[in-house]
Amino acid sequence: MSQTAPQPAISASGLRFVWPGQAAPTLDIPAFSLDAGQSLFLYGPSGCGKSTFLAALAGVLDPGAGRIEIAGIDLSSLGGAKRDRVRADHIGMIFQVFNLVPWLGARDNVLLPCRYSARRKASAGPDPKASADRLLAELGLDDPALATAPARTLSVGQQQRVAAARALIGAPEVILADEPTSALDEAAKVRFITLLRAEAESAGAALLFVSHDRSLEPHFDASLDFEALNGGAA
Amino acid sequence: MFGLAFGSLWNRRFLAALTILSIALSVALILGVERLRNEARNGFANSASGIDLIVAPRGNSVQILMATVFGAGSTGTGLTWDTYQTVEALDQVGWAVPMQMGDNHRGYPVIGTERSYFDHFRHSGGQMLEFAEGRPFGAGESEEAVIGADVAERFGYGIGDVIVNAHGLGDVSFDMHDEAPFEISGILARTGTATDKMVFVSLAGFDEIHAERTPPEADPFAAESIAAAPDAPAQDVDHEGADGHDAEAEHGHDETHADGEDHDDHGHADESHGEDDHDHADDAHGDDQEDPHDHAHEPDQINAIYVGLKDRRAILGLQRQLTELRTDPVSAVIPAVALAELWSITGTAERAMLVMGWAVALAGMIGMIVMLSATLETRRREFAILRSVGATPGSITGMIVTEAALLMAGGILAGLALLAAATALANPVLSARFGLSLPLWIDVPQDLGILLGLFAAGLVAALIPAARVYRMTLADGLSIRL
Repeated sequence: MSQTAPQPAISASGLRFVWPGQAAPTLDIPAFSLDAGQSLFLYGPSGCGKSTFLAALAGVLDPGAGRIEIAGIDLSSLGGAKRDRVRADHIGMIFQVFNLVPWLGARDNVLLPCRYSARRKASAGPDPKASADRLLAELGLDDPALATAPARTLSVGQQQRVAAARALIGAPEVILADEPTSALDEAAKVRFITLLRAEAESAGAALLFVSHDRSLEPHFDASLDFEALNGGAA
Repeated sequence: MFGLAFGSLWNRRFLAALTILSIALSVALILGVERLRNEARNGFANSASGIDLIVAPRGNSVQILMATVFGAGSTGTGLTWDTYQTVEALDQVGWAVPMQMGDNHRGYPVIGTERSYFDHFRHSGGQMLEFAEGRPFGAGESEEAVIGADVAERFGYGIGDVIVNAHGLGDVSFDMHDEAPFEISGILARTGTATDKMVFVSLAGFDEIHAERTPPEADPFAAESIAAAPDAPAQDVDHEGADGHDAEAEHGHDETHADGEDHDDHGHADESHGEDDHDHADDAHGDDQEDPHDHAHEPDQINAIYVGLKDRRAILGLQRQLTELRTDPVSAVIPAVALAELWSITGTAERAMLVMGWAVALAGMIGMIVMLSATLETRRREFAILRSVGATPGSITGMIVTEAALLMAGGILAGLALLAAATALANPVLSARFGLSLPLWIDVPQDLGILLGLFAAGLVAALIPAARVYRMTLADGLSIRL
């Protein structure tokens, strides 16, 4: 559980998953691991199973075979509700678009993980609201009016930064980002990735960044071709 | 979860408000009907609690009850003084008070009766009438009146004020009895029953209203008395009329009941007459009633007799005996039985209203299900986001149920407020028209039961969209489908 241990933040082995009704497995990953504090760029074309892989890591999907460990916890031995708990406690997620509950304010969106995880709430410090505001400020959203405005009134770029703050709050060990920059323009993309990496690094979190856009590759510690990783993919 | 559910509803506040409104309407309707029904029943039952039997000219028992105890409508022609004396003399009868009706004071019924009415009448489960101010009208005098609390309040009357009565029951009368003014001698304490809306005068006073004029044709008993003997003194007319009735009744009686038993009974009743009088005089003496039993004034016609029994177990026998009375054809009405009859008539309307109330409740809940279900599709994104930050399908389902609970609670509170507002508006009318005053807020466990039932039903109904959400969130996982 402790992130000072030498064990990787994410490790998977012998992972196989077949969508019902399909002959070939979508996932067939013999081994994968990512250390704490590291950032990995995972690339591959759309529809190659990247999102399915993230869903499996996030514990939403229960792969029939294989073993996944998040911060040292073996997901495969857990039931659905317990996997949800592990996700709440240890994983921050960022999606392509529509990351925010549209009618909640930016700050309340950032604080969402604290509603579902006592651990994240405790890690967010004595005043989670202040932590949220600090994260928002670090991500360039220090206008107090933004904190309370409903998320739907924010620009896409602002929304993605709020999503990043939400993924980071309460210092989860793992950040999973699924094409979070695809709706942003070129300048915004780089700015966003730089901010996200810096925050993840200072929190000691492992960042797994999935995209089809290889131009982003140089911004990460390492990169990996998903199709090479996913040996069983058709 | 509560905050999220509330926020989510607030985000859809227009739809939520409509849903709450429809639930509120059903709550107000159901509770309102229930309350009206209870109050009406209590009010009516309270109005007649001391009276064992009401003797009136033969007729429909509900009509007799309404005309006498509630001063609404009228009884048939009238009873002779002989009938009163016969009834009063019956062995089983503890007390009997003659009643005259048919006049009004500015829309409030005027009752002619004897002083003993105030001793015998009971309301609200056995309470005596009490005087807030003053005293009963004088026994022999005809110019005094006792008024109910509502009458006093409505017109601001006090002791010593002089009032004038009108003939008939209508609110507006062109036939004012200016020649027979009454001075108010007493004001009754509020009872919450029909008594509050009545004006009581002595029998002599009541007759005084009619004494010096030719009554219109529309007045049944006055017309009859005129027809019988226009110029004769009251008592003579009475006697003649009674005799005639007697003969008729006797005839019918002999034909139908040839056996000797009835005759024996009759004889017994006659025998007891003297005894009864004696008893009464004794009683009255003990009560320090100033004018015990000699009726100062014997009117031509009375409209009804309130009867109290010595032993209430004899009520059915007496009722039968009274219907065979020789003086007048009468009905002897047991108030409770007549009330039951009345409720069986109004019951259909009550049930219709209640069914309507529950139908509105059903519609409100269907509206809620529709609202919750219709927004599920557009909220899939929201659910996926919540799942990504750790919400379990169970907690998202719980959120939907919480939303339903909030809607129901909001609807119930709004319904209570609506009902309180409607009651506050309607109370003056209800009070003036029917003597009912409804409580503004929930006051009986029964209301609470209904509200809890509605709330539970709403939660059960919410399980339909909740089950969909559960399956949806399980299937969707984190993928956002739009």
